[in-house]
Amino acid sequence: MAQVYQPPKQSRLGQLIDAAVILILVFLALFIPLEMELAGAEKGDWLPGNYAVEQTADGGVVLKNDSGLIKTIAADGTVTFENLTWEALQQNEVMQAQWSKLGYDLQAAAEAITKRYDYSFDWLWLILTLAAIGGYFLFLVRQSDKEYREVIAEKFGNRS
Amino acid sequence: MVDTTVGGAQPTKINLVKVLGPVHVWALGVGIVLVGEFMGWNFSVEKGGALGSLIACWIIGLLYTCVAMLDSEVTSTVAAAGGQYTQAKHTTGPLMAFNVGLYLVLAYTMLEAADIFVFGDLVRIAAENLGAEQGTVDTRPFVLLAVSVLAFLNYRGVFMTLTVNFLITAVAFISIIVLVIAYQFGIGTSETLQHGGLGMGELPYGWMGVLAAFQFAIWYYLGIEGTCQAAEEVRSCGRSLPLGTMTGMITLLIAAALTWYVCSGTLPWEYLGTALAPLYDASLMSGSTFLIVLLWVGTVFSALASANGCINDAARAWFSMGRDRYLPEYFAAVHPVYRTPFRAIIFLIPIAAAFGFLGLLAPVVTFSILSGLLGYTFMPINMFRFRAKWPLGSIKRGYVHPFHPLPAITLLVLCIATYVAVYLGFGTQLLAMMVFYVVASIWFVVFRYKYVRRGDQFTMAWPRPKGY
Repeated sequence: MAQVYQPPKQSRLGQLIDAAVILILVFLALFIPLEMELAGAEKGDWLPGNYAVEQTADGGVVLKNDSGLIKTIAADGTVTFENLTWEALQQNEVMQAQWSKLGYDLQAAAEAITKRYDYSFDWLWLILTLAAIGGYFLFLVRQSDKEYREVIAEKFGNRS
Repeated sequence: MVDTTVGGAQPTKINLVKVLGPVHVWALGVGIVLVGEFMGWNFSVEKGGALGSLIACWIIGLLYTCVAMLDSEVTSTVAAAGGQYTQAKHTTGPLMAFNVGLYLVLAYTMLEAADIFVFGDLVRIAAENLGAEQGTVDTRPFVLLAVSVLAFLNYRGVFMTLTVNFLITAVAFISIIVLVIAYQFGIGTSETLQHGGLGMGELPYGWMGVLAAFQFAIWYYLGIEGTCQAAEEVRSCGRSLPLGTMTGMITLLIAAALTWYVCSGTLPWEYLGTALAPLYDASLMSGSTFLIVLLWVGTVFSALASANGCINDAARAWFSMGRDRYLPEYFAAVHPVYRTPFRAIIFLIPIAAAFGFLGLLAPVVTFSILSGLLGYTFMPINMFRFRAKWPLGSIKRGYVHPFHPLPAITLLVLCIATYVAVYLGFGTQLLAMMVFYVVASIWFVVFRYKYVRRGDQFTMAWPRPKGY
């Protein structure tokens, strides 16, 4: 029979500190990505059809598509459109009617429609992230297995 | 079984009480998850368009079907509070169990925080629709009142908690069905569903968008695995848990399909993808006051049911970890009268409320999704080890899932695909949050494991595991 392990008794203060440690770690995990401004996929400016992007001298951006629709984003973030029509946004009558029922006029709908995600990503970081998750689980299984053998030995006795 | 010293009385051995049936298991699982149909799932539309969201919904539905199959087999055999945490203790070992316990506590506490946040917004929307000036409504008193009522319910007893959850979840589910029937048959509204006109057959981002949509398609089902937290409190574990979990999963698949159908037939996908409460918005488009009120009530009830179930599950996981000394044993107390893990309940509620009030919704949601996903990744490992250590026939199982190892392999592959989707959405935030679990694991090994009684970690009346 394996020797029975007798754990130390933990004081109330020790218990309080341990609960606080977990809480602090959780709050850090929530705040650190915000503080470090870590970001995932973000929406960028987009226009229907084929379009070109130009930088302006004052730091703004202009998008022009092949049907004449122009979207200008000024340096201060102000968005303006030229030649804006529902047709230019490729919105049919049903879509127009639903936008209107939602309280969106043409300009407001255009701002919602002309934003799209860019899913380009860095393969290296993706592989590193997946490897980190795999490594984490490998560590968990191996370390847990060592502890599990202690549990089984104490519960069922050592193998003869 | 735990010692309780409430009121300074002589320590006595008190268990959680076995009072729950399959209906309560259904109410716990669906109650936690159904809010995902009322809000959250639609962000998958933003990621991949309406059709992309539907495809992701089906694929992630397959992921959760595997989760339910694997979980039902192990849980119907391991009848103890803590769910996957307790399973991990018996199949893998203490460090894995500690991590799985944290996944559960954090997934549910963060989800509860998001529920609280949404409940506040729904109160604001109602007040503004009733004439309040925009930006003048302080929702915090309403949120605090709701959280206090839910906390009291959970403190007072699990039977009442989950009976209430059953009622409000049923109302929320029925509200979805009523909305679909109203649109489909033109009852109370002259509006019709217009999937073709709204361009719902297109994939605006191609198949990359479908993959990216996995990230939020999880919200259709996130939390259904929480049914096994009730393992120690159901009257017949072998019957109630698989029955409650599988019927819950079927309910959610139906609800997800109906929700997508009605929302994508009424709202432009660019709007749908960013809406706070898409089903409520779909009711607004009907012009029917009855439907608008019904869907507001359904949305509120779904948020409250989810918060209620999350309080229940997070507290049981925290309690179980305290009972095993993975966390301070102070939290292992059972109320001598109400037979609830009252200290764990009272400890976690202010934390969830703080997350909700701090306005950290984005990282909170990220953490909830990541914690849930890590828990699902553990399940195939769990199943392979469970079947290897105790092959079929060596112990009595309440339920044996078919086609092993196909569901476990499918689940693992889908988890990896979902990690890629979460990476596309959250980028290096994912890595930063993984650091939390690595640091917590090191803390457990170095500082906490010494308090754990080794032999006590194995509580099932099973034979010695094969190979050990």
